[in-house]
Amino acid sequence: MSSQRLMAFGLRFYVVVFFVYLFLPLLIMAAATFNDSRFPTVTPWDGTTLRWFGELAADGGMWQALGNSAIVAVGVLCLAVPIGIATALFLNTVSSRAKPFLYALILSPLLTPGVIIGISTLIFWRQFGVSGGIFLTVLGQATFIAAYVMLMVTARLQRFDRTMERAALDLGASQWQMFRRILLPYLKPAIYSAGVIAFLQSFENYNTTLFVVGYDTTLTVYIASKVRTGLTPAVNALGLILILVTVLLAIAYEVKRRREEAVRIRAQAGV
Amino acid sequence: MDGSVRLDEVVMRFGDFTAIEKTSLTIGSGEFFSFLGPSGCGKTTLLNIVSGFLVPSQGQVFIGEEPVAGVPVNRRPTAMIFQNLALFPLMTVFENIEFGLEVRGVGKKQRRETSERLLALVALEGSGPKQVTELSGGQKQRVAIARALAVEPRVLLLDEPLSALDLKLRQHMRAELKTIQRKTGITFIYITHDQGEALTMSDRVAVMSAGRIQQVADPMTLYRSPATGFVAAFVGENNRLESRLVDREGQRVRLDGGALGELVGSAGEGVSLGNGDRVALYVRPEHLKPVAADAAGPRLEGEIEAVHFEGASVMLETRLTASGEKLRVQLGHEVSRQYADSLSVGQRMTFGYDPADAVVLPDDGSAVVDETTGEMVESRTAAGGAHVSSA
Repeated sequence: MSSQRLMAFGLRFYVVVFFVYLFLPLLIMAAATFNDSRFPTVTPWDGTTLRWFGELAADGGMWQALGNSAIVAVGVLCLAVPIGIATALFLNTVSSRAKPFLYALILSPLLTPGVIIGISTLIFWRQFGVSGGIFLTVLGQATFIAAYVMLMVTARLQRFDRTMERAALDLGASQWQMFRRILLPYLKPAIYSAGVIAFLQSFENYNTTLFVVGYDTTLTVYIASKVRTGLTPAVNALGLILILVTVLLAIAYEVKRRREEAVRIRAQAGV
Repeated sequence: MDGSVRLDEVVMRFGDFTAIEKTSLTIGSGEFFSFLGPSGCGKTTLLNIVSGFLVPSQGQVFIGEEPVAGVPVNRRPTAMIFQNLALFPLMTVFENIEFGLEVRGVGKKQRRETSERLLALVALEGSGPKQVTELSGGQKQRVAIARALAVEPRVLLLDEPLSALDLKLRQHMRAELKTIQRKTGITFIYITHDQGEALTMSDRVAVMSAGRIQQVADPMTLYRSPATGFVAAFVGENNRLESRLVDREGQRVRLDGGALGELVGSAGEGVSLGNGDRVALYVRPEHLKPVAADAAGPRLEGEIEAVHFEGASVMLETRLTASGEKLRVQLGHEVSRQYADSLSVGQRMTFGYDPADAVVLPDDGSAVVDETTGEMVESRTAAGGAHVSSA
């Protein structure tokens, strides 16, 4: 075997191993959903069943937690996205020596362990008589999720051609008109992506949430508590549903993107 | 509508750097006025001062005889065409052109009428619904012009708008711009480093160097009677011969060319020359003609080092036998045919010129053209830069 073919084989082998590593746990988790066993496992296989979907549907606490997660995620979206955009716009205009400092300051929640953000949020707000709950969860999560939004918006903002801004002002637009008609449409794709990321980050967050959620429960906190009290394959059923929804959304997005690209290419070809 | 622009003792400094030395200048309403100069000479800075993007460190700007100090960019009666055009890529041609009207709160119907009329003016009828990304370079150029005209500016500012186009299109757009300017009667202030553009389109040109206006004149005067060494070297091509002034009789001056012997020329317009001054004699390549070695008048003998056939003419690169300086000679079609046998490398020829065509200016040593790139190299600051105040 020549070294080139060996390389090709090695690469293929690596890719296969990588995908097995990535997806085998998910496949086993999904398979366990249909196992008629009290524990989420595939061995031994005690017969095929759909009853865990029924159990899941009947689990009121789980639905309550899912609803809370959605409320928190929407709250974080509404708080972190505007803050992230505003921060990105502000940092883009700052030219002083303070810029690296401000940048580091805003990114620091990303580097701080989530546990610490959770604890410090709780301690801080307790001074003002606010105790743990959905409200504090939104605040706690938004502190670091806003930094994600800022990063994504900044990445696009840095490619913005500032002469567009000058042209708009020169043609008589106010700063606000320039922002609304020129800059915001330009930033839109980054803002949408940042919104999706913010929502997902909030939805899956556990370690910060655990400290600030108080007597309320989000989905991650609920599942974690179940691990202690006894997990049933109903959790697997939930996991399977979440995976399917995610995959469907990703496919829908890709189809939409390809369609738009085709339209654009056709337009550029002048057809 | 008065579209005149007046700069009154305008100075622009960035920290320690003076981008614009004290400049006073009046541009007439409806004039096609160009600022010509190498990159970094301050011409774009001047344009940004007129448009309001920059506030001058000193001095006043008047548009239509009204001071515009404190009037922000979006309230000035000017519109700019940017070097990269800066069309809004997410908008259609219509939306681009109507943007200035939209932000002024003009109704949709009236906006559309205006943009249709302007699309007709720039010969782009029917392109309104297109995305600007679908347009060719020349079409984008026209949309940029229409977009600027839509806000009915009194002054249109053009920042090297043709530099991104290829040669053919550039020449075509020159004629087009001139036509649009004549049709609309708007004052055009045009920035360029391309003398071809400045000379063909402009009513008047200001040649700039190192933050200073060197000369303001109509293109023909600029070419025939440069006021400074910089203008002589930058506008068109010129041979520069250093010499010393012997005496002067009216415009005609006699020079001591050192090894070159006695030279003659005409004193530049409005320059002060004293006997014994170090001066420079500027002779354009096309003003040099082959003459007999014993002919009367100024004679320069050179050895041909290269012959470039340029179609309508032949350019000779020669080296003067007496001094070793370079001398470029451009021979017209007829003359080059007549001397066809002698036009080869190594041949010696004697050239003469009409003293009325040769300009004598103080030797300010300001401008040297880099022979390999053809770009201006400013070896010393232009101490001899004229302070221009024109009406």
